[in-house]
Amino acid sequence: MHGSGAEISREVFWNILGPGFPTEQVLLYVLVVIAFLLFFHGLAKSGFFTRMKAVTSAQGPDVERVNNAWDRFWYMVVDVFGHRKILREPYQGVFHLFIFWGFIALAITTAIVFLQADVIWPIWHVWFMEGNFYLGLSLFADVFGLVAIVGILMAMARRYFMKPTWLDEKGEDKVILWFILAILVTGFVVEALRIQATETDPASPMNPYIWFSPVGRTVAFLFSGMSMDALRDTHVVLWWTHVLGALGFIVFIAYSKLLHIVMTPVNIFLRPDTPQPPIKVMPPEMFENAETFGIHNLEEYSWKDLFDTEACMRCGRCVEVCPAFNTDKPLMPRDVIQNIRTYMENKAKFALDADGNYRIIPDEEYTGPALIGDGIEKDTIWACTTCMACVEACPAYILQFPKLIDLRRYLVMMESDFPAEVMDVFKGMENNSNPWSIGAHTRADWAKGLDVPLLSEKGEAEYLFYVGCAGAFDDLNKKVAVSLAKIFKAAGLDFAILGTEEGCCGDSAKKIGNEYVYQALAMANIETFKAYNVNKIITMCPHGYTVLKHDYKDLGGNFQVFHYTEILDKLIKQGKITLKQPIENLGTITYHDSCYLGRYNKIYDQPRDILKALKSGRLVEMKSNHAKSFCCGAGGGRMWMEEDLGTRINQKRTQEAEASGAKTICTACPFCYTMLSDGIKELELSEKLQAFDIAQLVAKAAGLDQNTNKAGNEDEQEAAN
Amino acid sequence: MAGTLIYAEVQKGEIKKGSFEVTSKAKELGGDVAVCLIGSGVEGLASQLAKYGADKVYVVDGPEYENYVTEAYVQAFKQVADTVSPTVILASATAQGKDFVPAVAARLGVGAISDCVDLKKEGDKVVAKRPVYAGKAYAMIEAVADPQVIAVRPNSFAVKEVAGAGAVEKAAVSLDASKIKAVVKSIEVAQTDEPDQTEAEIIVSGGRGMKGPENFKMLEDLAKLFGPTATTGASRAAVDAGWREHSYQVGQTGKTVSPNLYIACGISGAIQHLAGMGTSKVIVAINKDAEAPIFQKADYGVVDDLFNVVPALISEIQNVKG
Amino acid sequence: MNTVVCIKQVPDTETLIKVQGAGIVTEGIKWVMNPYDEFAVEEALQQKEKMKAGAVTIVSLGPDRAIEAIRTGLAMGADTAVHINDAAYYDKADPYATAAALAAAVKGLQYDAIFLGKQAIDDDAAQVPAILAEMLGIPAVTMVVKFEVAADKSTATVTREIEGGQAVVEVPLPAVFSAQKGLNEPRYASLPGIMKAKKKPVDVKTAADLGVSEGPKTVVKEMTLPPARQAGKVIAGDDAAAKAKELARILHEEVKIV
Repeated sequence: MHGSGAEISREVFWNILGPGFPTEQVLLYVLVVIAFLLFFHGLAKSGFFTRMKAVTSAQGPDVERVNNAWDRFWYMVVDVFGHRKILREPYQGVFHLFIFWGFIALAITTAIVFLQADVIWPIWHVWFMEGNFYLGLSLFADVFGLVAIVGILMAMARRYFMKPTWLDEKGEDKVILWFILAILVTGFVVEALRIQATETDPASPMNPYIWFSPVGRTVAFLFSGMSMDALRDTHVVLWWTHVLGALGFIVFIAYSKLLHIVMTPVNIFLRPDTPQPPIKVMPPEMFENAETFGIHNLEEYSWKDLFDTEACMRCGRCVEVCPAFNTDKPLMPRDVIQNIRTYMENKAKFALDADGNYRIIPDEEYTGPALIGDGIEKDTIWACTTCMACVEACPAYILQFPKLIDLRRYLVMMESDFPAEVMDVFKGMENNSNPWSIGAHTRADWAKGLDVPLLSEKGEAEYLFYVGCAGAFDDLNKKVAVSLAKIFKAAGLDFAILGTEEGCCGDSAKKIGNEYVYQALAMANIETFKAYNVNKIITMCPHGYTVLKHDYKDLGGNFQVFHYTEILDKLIKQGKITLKQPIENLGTITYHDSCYLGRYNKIYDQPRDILKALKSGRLVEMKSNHAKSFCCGAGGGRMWMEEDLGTRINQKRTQEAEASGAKTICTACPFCYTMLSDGIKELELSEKLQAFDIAQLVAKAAGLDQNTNKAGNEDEQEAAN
Repeated sequence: MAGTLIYAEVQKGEIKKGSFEVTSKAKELGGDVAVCLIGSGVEGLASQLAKYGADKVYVVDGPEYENYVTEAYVQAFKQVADTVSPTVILASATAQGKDFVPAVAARLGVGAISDCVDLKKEGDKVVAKRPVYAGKAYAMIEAVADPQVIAVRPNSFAVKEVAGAGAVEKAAVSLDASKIKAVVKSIEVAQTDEPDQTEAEIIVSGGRGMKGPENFKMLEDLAKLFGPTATTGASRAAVDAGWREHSYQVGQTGKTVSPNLYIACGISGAIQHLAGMGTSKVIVAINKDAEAPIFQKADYGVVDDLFNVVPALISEIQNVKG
Repeated sequence: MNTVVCIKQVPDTETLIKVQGAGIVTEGIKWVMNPYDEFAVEEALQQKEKMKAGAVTIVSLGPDRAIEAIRTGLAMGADTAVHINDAAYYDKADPYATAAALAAAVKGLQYDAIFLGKQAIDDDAAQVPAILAEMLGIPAVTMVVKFEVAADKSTATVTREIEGGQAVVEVPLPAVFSAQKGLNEPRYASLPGIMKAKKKPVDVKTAADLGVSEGPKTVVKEMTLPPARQAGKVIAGDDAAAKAKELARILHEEVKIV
């Protein structure tokens, strides 16, 4: 008998063990061992070990994954148990939290029971599962079991009633929730049968404490009319059902996305811990000696790239936030990961030799499906705006879109295979150092008549104002450059521009996959910056900000880089910019977070603080904001590509702005400014919506928007005439 | 002979206006003006050339000249030139002229000056002015030796009628058929009455602002009002978008034009476009973006929606014309 | 099929042109392969790929800097190159002298066809293809927008742009062809192509090496900038109709076109 005879406790294996030798107990543990053996068998059957062969055969370079192991471990523990990232989406977050903690609690309870019944009691004959501890444990297990059931029901409600478009459904998804629910419910029914049989009798010593198993007690009412024999018979059948279900669940983990229970925490531990944008670094030496660039063979990915696919449980959060998916383009970040996983299995059929060794097959010999084209379609590769929403959303710390950039690199640098319109962009960058291919000699024309100091004349300045191509060449954004120059001057900032010595930052080239052109552009800028001993740089464009701040480091360019919103925010707070009067007719204002300012660089507050300081209108948020902001559609070089598939991303975002009730959309990125201005025009919303860059508004509020450049003077003269 | 020999081009049974232009200009430059007219059944056209200043017209007429074949035409022309020994050879820099002129010059062992917009006599020499670097500069060029072979961009000179009738002579030429290697298998010419953009006097051109191929109808309607010397054109953006054929494209990678009037509708005025129409005599721009660079080049600018302006302009011109 | 492609290095289309005497200021200019020559190179490469045999040779007349344009052609996939590197000759070369140098260089090569761009976008003369053909005694077909070659390489059937349409011309090979836009879409050199181009052989010759002493047949006397166009008149009016009315009046009374 398992039980000390203590009154406030229960008999473990009640109704299960027969008299004498505990056959059933032994059987149970044999089954447990079998379950674990089947789990490993399942891993083999489901291709896990095959995939691991591919993972370990991967040859791509990877970053440090186990440095600061203790920090990584704690980060993982906090993330897993605290659901730091999962709770980003409240509904899904909560139901996962419920199921997770339900399972944890039940696992703890089971472990305690196991320790009591099979370790402590047999060896020391000590029974600690009694009294208040027992009652507490009962309550704990019951409550968390219920919590888990609530979680499962919420998940079912989502899958069967809410049916979000981004949620996929494979065979296993039809089973998993019902399976878990069945285990939980049978657990409660087994408990209820036991309670009905042993605790409802007022004479039972447990009777006063019967409600310490609230769920079990409640369910027991269902069985109140049953005879003791019936209770016992039903109990024994259901007990074994429950046990077999739970053990089956363990086996099922190996075959299904439930493996994430193991793999995702591992992936969290291995997450990249640098502040760098997640695109792989290509060392410049590579261009001297490498034979191939980018990725077109599975094994060219890094082991971690491939391992990522194990951690994906297809939750679809990355799909939910993807601007390409949301505008009907053939890109779902989840499916990129899943397709790589499937491709790993398909490729293994070719790569594994008779002895089961994974062999890297040279291109000439390989006859199987191609990674690009068969594994991942080209339209998918080109649809990405590199907005990083997928990476930000992923609770498993998987890098989805960077895997596409690797493929772009191959297509662009090895195959010259890219959307036709990109040809002019590359040539423009190569010949005139700007994607529009406007004559490089006109780069400083925007500043004519404004008396903007040139570094070549001034010699040195505290800040280099790096204008970037949009500010220098694009008519719409030249106005922003002019506003900034005026503000900096008015604030007495010691700054200068490079004029025609400035070059394209190269971000678009990099994200389109042309690392070669990117590095040439970057090196030229770095050289110029260094020649002038530049230390601090203010950029107008978040794209330039990102590459100058992070990526130029890899090429030996270490500078302190600021986005203009950081500088303006500081200048306003320091009182160096006087905002003279509120701007009229802005109405309600909304701020559109640029992906490259927000998700890439976590600059969320400064732009908003500036807008608040303008006191020119109420600030409202769009449905997607801050880290969840929705892309304008221009990142990743998409600015320069036709948007032939699906609907237009910029229009979707413009509609969000309209829905926010705002009259004015503010941006702090030239690409966003262009895309949203176009969105307003395309949707014919000019009556209701207007777009401005924040710098323009600051200039206006500071009384700096009168045209003081040459063209402006002429305007004024004409007006005077 | 200290004079000029002109290559007169015939298309669809008509002498091209550009040929008359160079004839008039040759007369103005002085000296004898001879014209070589090549084609099939073209003899009857010869007298027209006299009207614009030809003193003598050499006619090379025969079925073998039905289609323009560079080698045949060059052989024929060279024989006439050998007879005439001119100091200057002029031709209109039409599509055909651009093919013909350098070939003739090479056959004569002299240099050629392409696509000129002005000619000036300096002593024995004709100094030709021509745009280079896509119109970003002009070069003044002269040939070292006679004959000085020069092609002139259509619409560069006015046609002037002169009194007196020139003589018409049927030139006796023989072709060395063994050297005529290229054979024209077929010719496909769009059935249109519109002149080629390079020769049209008025071009109504549309760009990205046209929004779609269907809206070019309106530009065609406007062009028709200006008469048979008007046609339509398009910017690269409109051509790249597939709204117009490439043959309509005006600009650096399309046609270079010098019409008397160029109306740019919904064209922003990218430098590539300006390179192709910058030498137009009068430029009108219709664009709702007041900051479009086209307004920097335009003589007359209308800042408004072209979809309102163009229909209104059509009815106004109909009014003016009565 | 063996082909020769004659290319020229020219200022980028967007470059600021400053004139000086009878030439331009070359300082600060971004030099590129003549855009029409890219069509020529591309066509030669496509023909070679289609035939799965033959070599593409780039020939270019130009000073030291022209090697960059030559390397661009090699990076696109051409096999070898001849660089007629003779600054003195180049500086004075008109289309005739250019063709003479190219002809001399081409004479030593094996070829079934010679491709060139329809014109170089610096002097925009569009003469070299015809003169080169004349000098080599082979036919020229200009403004080619479609090129097909018979399996035995004896003839090419090409479509050329003519006024208002197209003509299909059959010509025996070898012959000279000048490429018009529309012939193909020039490729973007791949990175391995760029790397390999650095190692491909370039035969450097002077005019004297080639035995050409042909002087130019035309000379540039002077180079000027076009007069700055005066800022135009913006037609005023309350609405589009009023502006259209005023424009019609101007076209009628001032421009005298209507």
